[in-house]
Amino acid sequence: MAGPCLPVQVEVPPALAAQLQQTGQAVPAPVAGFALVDTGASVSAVDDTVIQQLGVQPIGMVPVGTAGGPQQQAIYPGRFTFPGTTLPAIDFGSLLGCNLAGQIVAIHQGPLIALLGRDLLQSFVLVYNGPGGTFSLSF
Amino acid sequence: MPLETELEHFKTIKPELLRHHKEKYALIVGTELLGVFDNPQTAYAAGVQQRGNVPMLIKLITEEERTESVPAMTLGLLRARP
Repeated sequence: MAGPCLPVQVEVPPALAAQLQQTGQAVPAPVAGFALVDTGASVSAVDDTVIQQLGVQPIGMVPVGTAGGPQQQAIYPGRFTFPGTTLPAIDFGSLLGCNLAGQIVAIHQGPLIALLGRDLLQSFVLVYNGPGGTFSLSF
Repeated sequence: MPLETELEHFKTIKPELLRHHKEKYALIVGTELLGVFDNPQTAYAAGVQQRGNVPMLIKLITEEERTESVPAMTLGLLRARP
């Protein structure tokens, strides 16, 4: 798989991390992988197995358009950080759970664990340089 | 389906919520409306503070719900091979 990918860490939301610490429970470790910039996605999404690893509970169901009509899918809260970049951490009020199992970002030899949709991109400037094979994301 | 009880309760109280809290976020656990908030992050923080790490419904109070679109996922494009 090619395309505009960047390293990402998915973490439990700050509010949950604080609550777990207050009650003497361990905060799940962030899950690291890669995120694909997806301008076709209206919302950002994260792999279901990451959600399971973080132990985050659903906060809603939203209709998602499919070839067979809208289907209800669960959404979750979460935090993205982007190691090795100057991009700020993003706290999502809702992330779509999705199945990205087995998707590998070949050039980096790492798992694809998230899609960055237009809910995030609306806060950034994305420049895609096709001939140069590069992209930039700035804020 | 997760949050079935909460979604049903939201449907019941939606007309009242629309009258007073349009474009805010409702926080519901079970059949209890825990509050109405300006954004989903503060709603979640309140829910976690009050109930811990449990399933909860955080729903935008609006007339018509938007259908989300993630074609790469829903059309299987990520798994396509040339």
